[in-house]
Amino acid sequence: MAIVSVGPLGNHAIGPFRIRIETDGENVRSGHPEVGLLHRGIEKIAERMTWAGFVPYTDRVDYVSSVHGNLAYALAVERLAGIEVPERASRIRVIATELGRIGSHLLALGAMADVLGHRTFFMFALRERERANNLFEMLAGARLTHSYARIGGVAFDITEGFVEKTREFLEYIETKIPEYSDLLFGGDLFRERLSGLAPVSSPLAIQAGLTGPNLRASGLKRDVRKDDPYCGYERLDFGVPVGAGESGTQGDALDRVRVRLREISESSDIVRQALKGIPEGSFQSPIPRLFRAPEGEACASVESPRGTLSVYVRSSGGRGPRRVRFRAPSFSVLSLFPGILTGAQLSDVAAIVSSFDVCASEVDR
Amino acid sequence: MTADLERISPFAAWLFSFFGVRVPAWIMVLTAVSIYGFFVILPQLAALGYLDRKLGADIQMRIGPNRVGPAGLFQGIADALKLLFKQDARPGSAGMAFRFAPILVLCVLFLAVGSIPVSKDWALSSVDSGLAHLLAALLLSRFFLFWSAYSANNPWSALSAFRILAHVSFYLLPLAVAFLPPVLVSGSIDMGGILSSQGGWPWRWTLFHDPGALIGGLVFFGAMHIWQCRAPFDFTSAESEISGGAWSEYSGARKGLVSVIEFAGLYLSCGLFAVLYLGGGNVPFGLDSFGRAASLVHFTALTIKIFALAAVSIWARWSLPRLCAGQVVSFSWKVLLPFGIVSVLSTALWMALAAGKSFAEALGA
Repeated sequence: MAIVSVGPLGNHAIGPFRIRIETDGENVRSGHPEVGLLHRGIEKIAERMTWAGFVPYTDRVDYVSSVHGNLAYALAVERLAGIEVPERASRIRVIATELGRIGSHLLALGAMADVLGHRTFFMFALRERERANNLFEMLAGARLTHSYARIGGVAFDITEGFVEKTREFLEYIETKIPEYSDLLFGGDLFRERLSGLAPVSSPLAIQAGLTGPNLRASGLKRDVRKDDPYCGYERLDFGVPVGAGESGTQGDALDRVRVRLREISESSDIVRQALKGIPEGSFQSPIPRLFRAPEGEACASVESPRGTLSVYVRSSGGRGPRRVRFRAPSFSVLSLFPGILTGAQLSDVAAIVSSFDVCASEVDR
Repeated sequence: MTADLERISPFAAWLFSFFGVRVPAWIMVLTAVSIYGFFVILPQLAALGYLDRKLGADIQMRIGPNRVGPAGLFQGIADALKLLFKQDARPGSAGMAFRFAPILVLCVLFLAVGSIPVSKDWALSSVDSGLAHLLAALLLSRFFLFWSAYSANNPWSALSAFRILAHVSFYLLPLAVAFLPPVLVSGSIDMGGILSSQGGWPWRWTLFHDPGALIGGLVFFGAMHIWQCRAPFDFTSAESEISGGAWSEYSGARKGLVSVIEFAGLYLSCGLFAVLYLGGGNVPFGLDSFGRAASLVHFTALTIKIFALAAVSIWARWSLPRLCAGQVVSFSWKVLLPFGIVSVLSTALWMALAAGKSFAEALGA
């Protein structure tokens, strides 16, 4: 028996977190995730910041799709202070978050392919993600950490040519999705590796607190955008893909990957609808320069690419939050690992980890 | 004396037939080995490396190396120089074999590479035991690879070492079986004999001698790829599974040997397939009627064949995900081995029934 360490460095997973694995040859006896390597104390930092000043830190909660962190925080503060967000801002937020979801899922699929030795698909996925980043550059001036959704609206109005460029991107990505579906699932090699791998039944998923695509892969149709709509999602028509158990085991790695691939086309559909009638008006409701939220507490959730990202804020009436807390979906996933890695093959560990699309920055904050 | 030298190393005899000097045979052989190694083999390995990078870049829609030299041709040299000047670290707990085992791998591989005859004159070593010698070298190289992995005294390397051992049982039987059709067709286990039994036209190649040999050729090419441990069969040194396995502790120049070993393996796979099944350097139309310089024509023909085969291999490498051990063993034992046995039996039957005539000859008669 040997103790080996998957991560924090190396090619095993995206982001620095470590899984200490006791192996018996190629068989995994047990696997314990060890987190904290990327802990930056974001929640503590919030207590020293002003309400608006904390927004750039919310980028770093989930750096793969930072706009979701911005949005969750902004929604919570708006709920706390009772700020009305203009229709136009809500619509732009939808466009931005769905583009972020497309980019994040592309990275998740690419990383999945990469640990299974398919570097070529990784390159393809990153190439498309770059195009999504270009759109963010037009929108927010930044490619990764956008700080785009602000309290009361968004940072900037959509720029000239953004709508056309986005439509172009959507057309492009929609032609690519069947291609990638073919590339990944057309042959046997991927399907054989992923089918039946690390299945999560729906009771187990609920018990572990899974959300997002990981939960939906096990067959449960839960999505914050449907269950507790924000930003006017209730007026948009979109489907929620769930795992179909095509390999015979519902909620296995294959289902999780497929759900993500389908969500890309759903997101692209949402963006297309949202682009159709962007309401006129302001993109930002007037917020006083020295904004003070009233005393109290509020909570808001958004459907981030990894699941339900909730933010809790408490105010004592000052210029900044008294307490901010993020409930990150990736953190719940880690609680599954000890159970799910036991008895797995060592060669599948990286595939299992990346099939859950764990983002280390979100785990540690 | 010259007759003996011609029997041991036809290339040395050919080389010194241009000079009237009389030198001891060992000097002739040493000179021949150095010249063949540095001016025939190494440039081809470097070219294979370049082809791998450029084709890989094309498949992934990247540009690939384009800075050092025209079209990035000298990138390999720059990389080699960089690795030479890096620290060659050895972990304190590593065994003695850590230092020399990779070099032994390379030596053994060059034993095998040197036994690939380009033509009657251009064969660095001519061994009567031919294919048996070759099979021994192929296996021994994997043994030294195991040694270098095991001596690193790192859990990942140790896992890789055991994978390398298990790996032998994956490819050995199909490979050994697929060596037989050319032996049956040519009636010789000597590489030179197999080469000279074939002609320049495709219908005089072993591959198209009879249906059995055709299947045997495909099995051989497949089995050689499994032996190579190159992607997609690189589970013995998978980055994402076992952190690069055998090579995780190597650095500097010894790490540079990895790619030499890799491309020597590729050269061997393609070169052996070309010589055993695809007529080697034989050319049609009597293009080789240049006396002693004819070998240059043969060399060109063989090189074209090797690079065409390498392109196929590289194509597969960049477009398939890694196979896990189970997938490799089922491919090897459920596909390659049965087809290999069928090929040997049907070639033997063909040789008995068609009195040694090839398919084309039988058709013509």
